[in-house]
Amino acid sequence: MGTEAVIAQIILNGVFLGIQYALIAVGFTLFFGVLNIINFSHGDVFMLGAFIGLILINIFSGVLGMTGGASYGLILFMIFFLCMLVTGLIGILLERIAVKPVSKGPPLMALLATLGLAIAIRESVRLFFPRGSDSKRFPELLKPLFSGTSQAFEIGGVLIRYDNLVIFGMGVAVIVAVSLYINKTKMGLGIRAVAQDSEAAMMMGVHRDRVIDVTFLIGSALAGLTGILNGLFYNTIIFDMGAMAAVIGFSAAVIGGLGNIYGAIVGGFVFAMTQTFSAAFIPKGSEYMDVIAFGVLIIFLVFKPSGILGEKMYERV
Amino acid sequence: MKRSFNLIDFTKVMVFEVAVFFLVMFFLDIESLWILIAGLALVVAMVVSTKVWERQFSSVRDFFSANRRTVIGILIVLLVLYPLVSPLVIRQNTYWLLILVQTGIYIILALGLNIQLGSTGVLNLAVAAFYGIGGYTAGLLSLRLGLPTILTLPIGGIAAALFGILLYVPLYKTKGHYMALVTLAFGLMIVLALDNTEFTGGPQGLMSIPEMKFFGYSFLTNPGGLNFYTNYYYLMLFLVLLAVVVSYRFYNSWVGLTLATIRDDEVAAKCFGVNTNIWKGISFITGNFMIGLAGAIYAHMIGFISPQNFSFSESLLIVAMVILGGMDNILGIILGTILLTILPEKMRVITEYRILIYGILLIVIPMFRPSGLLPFKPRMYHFGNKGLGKRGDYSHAK
Amino acid sequence: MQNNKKRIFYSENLEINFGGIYALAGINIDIFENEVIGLIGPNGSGKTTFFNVITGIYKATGGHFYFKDEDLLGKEPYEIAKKGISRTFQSSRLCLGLSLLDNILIGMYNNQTAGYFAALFNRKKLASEVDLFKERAVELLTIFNPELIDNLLDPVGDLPQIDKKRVEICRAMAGEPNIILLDEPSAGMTPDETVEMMADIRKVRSTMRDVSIIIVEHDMSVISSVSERVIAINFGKEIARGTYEEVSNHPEVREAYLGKEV
Repeated sequence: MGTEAVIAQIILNGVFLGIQYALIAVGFTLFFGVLNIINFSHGDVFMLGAFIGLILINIFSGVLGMTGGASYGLILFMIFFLCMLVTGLIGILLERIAVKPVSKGPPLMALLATLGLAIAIRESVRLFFPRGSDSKRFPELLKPLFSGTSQAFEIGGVLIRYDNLVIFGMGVAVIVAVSLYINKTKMGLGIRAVAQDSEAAMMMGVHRDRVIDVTFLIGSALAGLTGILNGLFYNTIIFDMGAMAAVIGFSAAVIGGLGNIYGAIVGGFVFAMTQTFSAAFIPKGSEYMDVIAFGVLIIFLVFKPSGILGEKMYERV
Repeated sequence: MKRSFNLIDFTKVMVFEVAVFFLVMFFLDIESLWILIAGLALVVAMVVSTKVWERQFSSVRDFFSANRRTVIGILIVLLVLYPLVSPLVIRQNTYWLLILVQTGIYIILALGLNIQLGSTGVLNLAVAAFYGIGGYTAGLLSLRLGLPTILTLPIGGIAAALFGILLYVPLYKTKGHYMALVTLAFGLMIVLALDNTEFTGGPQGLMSIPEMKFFGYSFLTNPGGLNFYTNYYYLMLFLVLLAVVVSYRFYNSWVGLTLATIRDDEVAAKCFGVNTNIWKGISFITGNFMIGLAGAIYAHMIGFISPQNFSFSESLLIVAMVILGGMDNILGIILGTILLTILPEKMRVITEYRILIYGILLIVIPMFRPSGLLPFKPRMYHFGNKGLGKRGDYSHAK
Repeated sequence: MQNNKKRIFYSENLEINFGGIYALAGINIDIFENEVIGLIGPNGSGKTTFFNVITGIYKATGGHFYFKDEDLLGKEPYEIAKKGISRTFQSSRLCLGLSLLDNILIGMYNNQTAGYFAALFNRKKLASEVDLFKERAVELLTIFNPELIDNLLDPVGDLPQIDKKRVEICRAMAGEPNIILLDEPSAGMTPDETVEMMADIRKVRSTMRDVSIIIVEHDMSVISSVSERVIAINFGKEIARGTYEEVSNHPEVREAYLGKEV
């Protein structure tokens, strides 16, 4: 392959990876904006989404096997929607139990609570899901959509898979939807208000608690969908997939600028590109790519903690 | 005023401690889950009641404070006697010796982390990575260079401290959440690096690390009929006491005060002359030395280490010990660590659920008991038997 | 003009720009030894920002300020504290979980000589310093409220608001600074407590012969009762200075507080 094609392929890989990171990062950034905490449990909600997706797929497997074409797509869509709904609701429940009670106290305690929640979710799946420690095969749901044609097409030596395109497309659609929601709706305005100054927002009549609930609904639903998309991308899920996802997710959010949705998206792609390029060009890169990516994170945290798109914040004295 | 020896008080303390001593041994020996649960319920009730009946607890605590030297003296004697008495009382004596030694290692880890987290408020999520650096340094030095353990132990600590400086260079510019993130990322990096490097043995880690030897005496020898773990027990007892003394000395000094002010209000600290960057660095490095030392001990004692031993979950466990015990509360942390190491061993039934329980603890403690197990105690700056006296002791100043 | 008093502090066109907004837009304030200055102005006029800049918490983006003839621009808070400027804060900034004693002792940080090594190896030296500093803390507390001595080892968070303020003032005095900045000491107090606070400030004056105090306040009764002269600022610039009567009657000052005359 010519070098342009190689680089294009690497970039493409980065794009497909990046959209997933971006989705998780957006969740982190939303939580941080509204509550000023890093919600470590977000990664494990992502994992929950993948498992709930798996359960739903198994429930509807019969129906799925019998249809094709448009109705197949419809059922798929319904599964995605249900998964987002269930994960979103679980998210609110967990937030009410574990996060809200400590959100007003010292930030250290809230951080620890989210860490504890992350562990609790992860271990619960490991212990209570049948054979929870094993990785599970995630069915290639998108394949039947392209049964007529080939699975991928080629442009100038670069291979593009249709199912990855669908994943990418869905990711973009969801991010756009969330963006529109935040920027165009009344509740979205409330979220932005609380993110900027929760006390002022309350004085303007914004219900902080309701805003927090909605934020967790959206964030968790996002995570849920990302879980399914991730399962479709790798065709396998495992109970501790959330741990790495969390670390990558908030790294991306920080790199892009905590509290800024566009920053989270940018951060997600930057992180992914760092990984794909390191894996390709640095010897033993694929093993060290996580190390390198974290190195990049540390550099950002030190030199530009506000991130690529973030604003400088002044501490109130 | 020299305190005269009070035989009655001495006897009270002696009886109390010896009773607890035997109770603990029976507790370790007991196999029945129900008695165990009953005993635990009793302990929980006691912890809760100290909060509820704070006044009565205060007078008990004052009694122990007044007789501090006796309490500590007898405690040390009992701890020294333990390996001699326990084979007669406990059936699985060897097993519990090993567990107690591991508990000792965790106490040193927790006290080291306490200097960073409890005293200064620096959440070091890479604590297990530094634990690992200490272990790997000691392991590599003794395996590849044949260095004696009398050197590898402190060098393990120093290695962790030096890596701490390395981390601190980017760390000091960050605040709050970002600081925790940097330590998290660093910890992950270290473990990943250890996992992927041939030199450190990769995922298999280091094996056949030589046992400890001091002046020709190998720690694998069975001293006079007792199990060889007894050697490690006495070493740990000595090091734990050292760690406790050092921790208390820092706490009850300007160092402890300065670090606490940084933790509670960094801006105020700065405005009264505290160079917070330097102090956070000092606390970070000091804590890391202890943490690395614990790692070195672990490496020699167990004989093999791998990156899995030093994962992020391990860091969270040590953090849980500090949080459960109470930030900057040395006695509380020792108790918390003992609870979190011995209880899971005792309740084998729940071994599977151990990590889940740690997670739940991390959720529940910040909600209900953010200040930890034991109630508030002011910094007393004790010096021998002088001190600041009891509360309300300053009427002469009016 | 200041009856042979030495000038110990002055600022020259001190400016600070926060992302386009000039919180301070050219401040020139002199402080002479042994005086009390009232600093007034509506919310957001830059009073606390001025305190934050001269204590090094914010770095000025323009101008200079000199203390004892030394240019302190760009210096860190801990360096400035060592030179002899201390302060209280609008939001208290006490370590609520620590004892009263601990909170006052940190005020004497610059005098502590028994450090890291003494903590481990020379406890005697530490012990004598602790005793000495503790006595000073007790002395200071006695000036304001002898009852507080009973609570010396209690967490400061348990105290009522006015006693918290007193502890804060003791902390600011403990290091024997040359300038004490009081930031809205009567905030959150009832009228009775405010009267006590005014008496407290006068006690500071009488206890420490050489100290200069700048007090930022919204409560004009406090300003009029304790300040010897008053400076008014708005939008980061000085709009008036003089005695309390002169300043409070100044048209620009009235406009700043009450709005333009219709």
